[in-house]
This record gives sequence, structure tokens and C-alpha cells, in this order.
Amino acid sequence: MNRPDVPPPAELFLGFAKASISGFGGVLPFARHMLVEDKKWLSEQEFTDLFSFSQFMPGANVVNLSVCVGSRFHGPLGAFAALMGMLVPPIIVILLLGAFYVEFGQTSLMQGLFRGLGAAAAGLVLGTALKMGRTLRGAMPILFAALAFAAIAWLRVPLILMLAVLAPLSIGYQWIRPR
Amino acid sequence: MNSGLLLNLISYFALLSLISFGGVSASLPEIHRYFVEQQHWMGSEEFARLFGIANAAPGPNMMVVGVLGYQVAGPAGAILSFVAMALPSSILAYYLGGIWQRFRDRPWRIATQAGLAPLTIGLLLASGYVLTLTADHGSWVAYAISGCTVLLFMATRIHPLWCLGAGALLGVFGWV
Repeated sequence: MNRPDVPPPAELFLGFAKASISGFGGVLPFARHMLVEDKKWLSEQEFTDLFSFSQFMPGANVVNLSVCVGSRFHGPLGAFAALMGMLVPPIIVILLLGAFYVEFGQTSLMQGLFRGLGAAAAGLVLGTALKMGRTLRGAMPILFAALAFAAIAWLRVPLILMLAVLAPLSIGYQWIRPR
Repeated sequence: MNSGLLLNLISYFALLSLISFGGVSASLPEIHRYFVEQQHWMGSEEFARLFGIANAAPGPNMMVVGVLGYQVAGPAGAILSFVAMALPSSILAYYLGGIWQRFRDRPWRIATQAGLAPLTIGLLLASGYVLTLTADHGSWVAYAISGCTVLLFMATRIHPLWCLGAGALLGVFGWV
């Protein structure tokens, strides 16, 4: 484990902590920069492979990514170090924000600020979804996406119920469809 | 502190952690359904405000989970909600990561990934829709901010922080 390209757990912790705390508007670009360009712990292709898995799994994609990168270098210890790097700074920020909101959140200035932020942040989620939606190909995948949308947005079905019904159908379709 | 409340938050987020395909952003309508409609812990407007704050802070998308937990049950609620949301999916990723790479060419693996992709896109779209209606309710300026953000985000490579900053500024002037 003395190869220079294997970062020690403390380095993993610090690297992910820095990416996490820099992540205004999303951690992903900072994590990618740190892993591929700055520290060179991963090649472009390795990053893409690990990230597509992290994206596909449930949970926050950058959190999954930190676990995969950490375990790749140091097994459970590395995964734990990288995960803590990803989680500890945000927890501190959340505690500060929560206290701030309880103390000052009710002033009209702050209420206005949060309303403006909320409107822009909602637009970012919508924009991300539309960008991803442009990659959908074929009538059936579009139908499944539309059904998932309608179940959650209009029918207000609990997430677990929607997945229990649509996931087997959508995966089953991919399984039997001619290639 | 009410331990029943903390247990409620932990068990809810620990389960959500394992089914939140598409990440926390895509799960926001589900969290809204639980916090606002089922448990009545807060109103829709407060949910939208807290979502706004979480987005202004540096950190992963799941910041909003900690901020909501804080509002419901204080600092302990924030930490426990955040950890409950992060840990189960991390453990799953740890154990499945190796298996997934080993079976990358198997048909069942490809079908699973291809089958879940449209559902996560539908989920994220539902999330954007619900959040926009919730955050912008009753204000055409708010709708304009969301609309401009969507257009800028899709048509340019502008950093998202500029959109958040512009929204915050308009809000501070009391125009939203």
C-alpha cells in the first residue's frame, strides 16, 4: 500500500471534505475535479464507471461515489474515511443554518430571500430533469417515465408503491424487448 | 427531546435511503408528501423555504434532509435524519459496487439499469414540477425566476450559483 498513487485514508477524508464544502449548487463538479484533475486518483474512464453506478444506486450520488472511491483504495476503512469527509462538513453547515433559521428566519427580509432561493432552486431541479429527459429513446421508456411522473406529481402515490408497480414492469420490458 | 419523533424521522429516512432512486432531489415530492400531507409537521410554504435555504448552502443535494430534520426536531433531528438518509444507501453501495462491476455484461444487470433509468427521469421531473408549484405559489415573479433558471440551465453553461444568487437578490428586495 506504499504506491504513491494510493492515497492514505486521511487524504481521502480531506479530499472529500474539501469537495463537499466547496459544493455550492452541487458537489459533483468539485468531486470530479478533485478526483480526476487535481489528485489524479482516478482516470476519466474510471470516474465515469464509478459515477454511473453511484447515480443508478439509491441515495445521494456523490455520497455513493465517495464510498466507492474509498473502498477501492482501502476497503471498509477507506470507504468510511471518504464517507465521513463527504458528510461531516455538511452536518456542521446544517446545524449552523438551522440555528440561524430559528433565530432570524422569520424576518420579512429573510422570508423574501428564501422565497427567491426556493424559486431558483426549483427551476434547477426542473432544468436537470428536462436535460435528462432529452436522453430518453423509444415509446415504452417514455411511457414509463410519464407514468412515474403522473403517479408522483398528480396522484401523490407514495414512492415505494410507485416503484413496486412500475420497476418490475419497466425492467421486465427491457429484459424481453428485442435487441 | 421526543424520542418517538426522532425514531419516526430515522425510520422514515432509513427506508427512503434504500428506495431513493434518482437521488434526494427526485425524492422531494415523497418527502413533501410525508412531512406536509401525512405528518403535518409544516406547511407547504415552509417546506419550500427550507428547500431554498438548503440549496443556498454548500454540500450534497441531501442537505435538505438535515435542514428539514432540524426544523422538526432540532439539532438531534438534523444529525439523525442526515445520517439515516446517508448510511443505508452507502452500505448498499459498498457491498454492491464490486458485484456490479463484475457482472457488467450480464443481461439482467443491463435490463435493471435500463429499466430504472426512465423511472428516475420521471421522478426527477415530478420533483421539479411539485417544487415549482410549491415554491412559486401565488407569485408571478417567482414563476419567472424558475422559468428563467430552467432556460439558462438548459441553453447555457452558466454556473447554477448565479441563478440562486439572482433569485435571492430579488427576494431580498421583497419582489418575489
